[in-house]
Amino acid sequence: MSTSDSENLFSKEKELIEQSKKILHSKNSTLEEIKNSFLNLIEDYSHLVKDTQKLAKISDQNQNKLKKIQEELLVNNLILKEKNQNLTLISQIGKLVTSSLEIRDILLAIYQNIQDFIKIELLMFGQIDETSNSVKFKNILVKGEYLPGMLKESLNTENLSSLILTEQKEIISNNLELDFPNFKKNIDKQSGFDVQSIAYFPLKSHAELVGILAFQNSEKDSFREHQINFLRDMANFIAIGVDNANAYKKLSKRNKELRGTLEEIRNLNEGLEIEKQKSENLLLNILPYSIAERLKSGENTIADFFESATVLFADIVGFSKLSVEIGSPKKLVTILNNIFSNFDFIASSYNLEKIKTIGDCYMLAGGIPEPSEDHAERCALAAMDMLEQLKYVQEEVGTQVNFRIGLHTGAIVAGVIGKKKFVYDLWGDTVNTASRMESHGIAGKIHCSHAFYELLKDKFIFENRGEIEVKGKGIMNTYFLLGKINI
Amino acid sequence: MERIHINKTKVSPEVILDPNTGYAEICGESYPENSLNFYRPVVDWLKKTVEDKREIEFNFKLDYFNTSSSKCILDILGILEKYNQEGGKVIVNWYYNDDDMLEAGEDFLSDLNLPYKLISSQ
Repeated sequence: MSTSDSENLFSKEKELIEQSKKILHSKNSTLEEIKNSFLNLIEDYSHLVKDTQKLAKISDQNQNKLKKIQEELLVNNLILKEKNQNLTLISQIGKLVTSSLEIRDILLAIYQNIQDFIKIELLMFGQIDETSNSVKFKNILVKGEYLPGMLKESLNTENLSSLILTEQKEIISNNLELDFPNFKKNIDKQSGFDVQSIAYFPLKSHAELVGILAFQNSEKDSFREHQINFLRDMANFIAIGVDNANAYKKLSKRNKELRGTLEEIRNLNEGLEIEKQKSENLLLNILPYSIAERLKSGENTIADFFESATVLFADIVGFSKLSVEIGSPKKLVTILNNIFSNFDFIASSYNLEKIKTIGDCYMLAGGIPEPSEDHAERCALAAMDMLEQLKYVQEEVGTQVNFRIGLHTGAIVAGVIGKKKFVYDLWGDTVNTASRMESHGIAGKIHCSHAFYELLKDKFIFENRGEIEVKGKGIMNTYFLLGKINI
Repeated sequence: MERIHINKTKVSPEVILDPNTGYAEICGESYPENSLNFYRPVVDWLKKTVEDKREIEFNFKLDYFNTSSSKCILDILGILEKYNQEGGKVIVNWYYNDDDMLEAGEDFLSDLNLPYKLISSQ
């Protein structure tokens, strides 16, 4: 029956009321006529009542239907609302979990966000340890408090962990005693309380099992269907979070190792640099700079010819006697060291090259390894300075000590040969002649060859010694250098 | 207060508490039926020793502990940390015989403001 039907009924009722009013107010009608009119009216009313009852019945049915639909809608609305809340919650937890890099923080984020929705007494995360083939539960939350743990379930024995990982499926029990009587004792031992309900979820990331997320409660029937669905959804997020945390941990460890290695390399490099500097200094101590550079760049044998160079030999006269008198080798070496250190300083100040010392004899040269014009002059000045040192040496060790100096200028070969204990050395007749000048000289004098004299005769004062017999050389006209001509 | 010595059982560790020297030792496996009850004498001893302002050396020599024992250990460490912050002299020695126990020690102690040593008992 439609709305128009109910409207018809109302108008019919109105019509009947009008008719009854007319009958009651009619003055011309007989009693019989009034009676018949009322009988008709009653009949019409009874039809009207029947129709009204029908209408009411249909209306009731419709109302019930509507009520039912409304109730269904209400339930659906509640479900949708709950689902929406779960989705919001999961999304919120997901954000926290996937942005956390510590498993402890992940567990705390889960606990703090789900406690209004589901009661959890113990929440723990177990990681697969391949070395011991077990699941280690090291991260545990009990009533919201983080506790370090050392629970371990071997995958070689029968327990919840091995069951979950073997079958790769979750285990939910709202009555542990009934469902897993064999495991209960061990679970109680691990947790320290009477565990009645459990929800264990395998955690998978990139199709690989990364661990187990476990919930425990001391009450039976703790986990309802919608809560389980929620926990399952959450476990998926946690797997990603755990994967991230593990990757971060590995990365941090690797980073730490790398930093350690880098530090070691840096220390080694510093050490190497120091050693390099030391060996470089050492090299420069025994070799002229340009020669050292050539050796470093790969030259194996160096032998350079110089058309003109000056060689000086200085010998300590009376040193052998002195060494017997002094007796103490240490003191003797100290005296020698002082004298030769002074000679080193003189050589360096005239830019001359110290070649070597041979016992108590000091050898230097000018005009090598870099050729020069004034090498003879510089050598002459150095020889004079050496004699100047004599008085200080005599003050220190006694008047019996003296110097004998020989000089010669000529062609020379200078270089480095050999692979071990190599030195920059000189070869050629010039070296022999200079040495002879020293050995045939006189204590406290500078004995020079004619070639040397020829080069410096205009700048220095010489005394002609005349011709002398020089061992291995024959007769030679030689000179004593006395000083510099003051211009 | 007298020296306390609790013998080791299958489920609970040996406990030595010396009030005169401030020396405490918990040694063995810990998964007693009621951890709170088991560790109560330790907590009481600790509170008294702190009250007496004694120097404390606390030695953990555990091979295994369950979750409820973990909570008790954390509570004990909490008391020691507070005592240390108040100026009390405390040293905690955590003995370990495997990597798991070493990690547990690090997990317990690294965040606490407390002097401690991780000592290998191997």
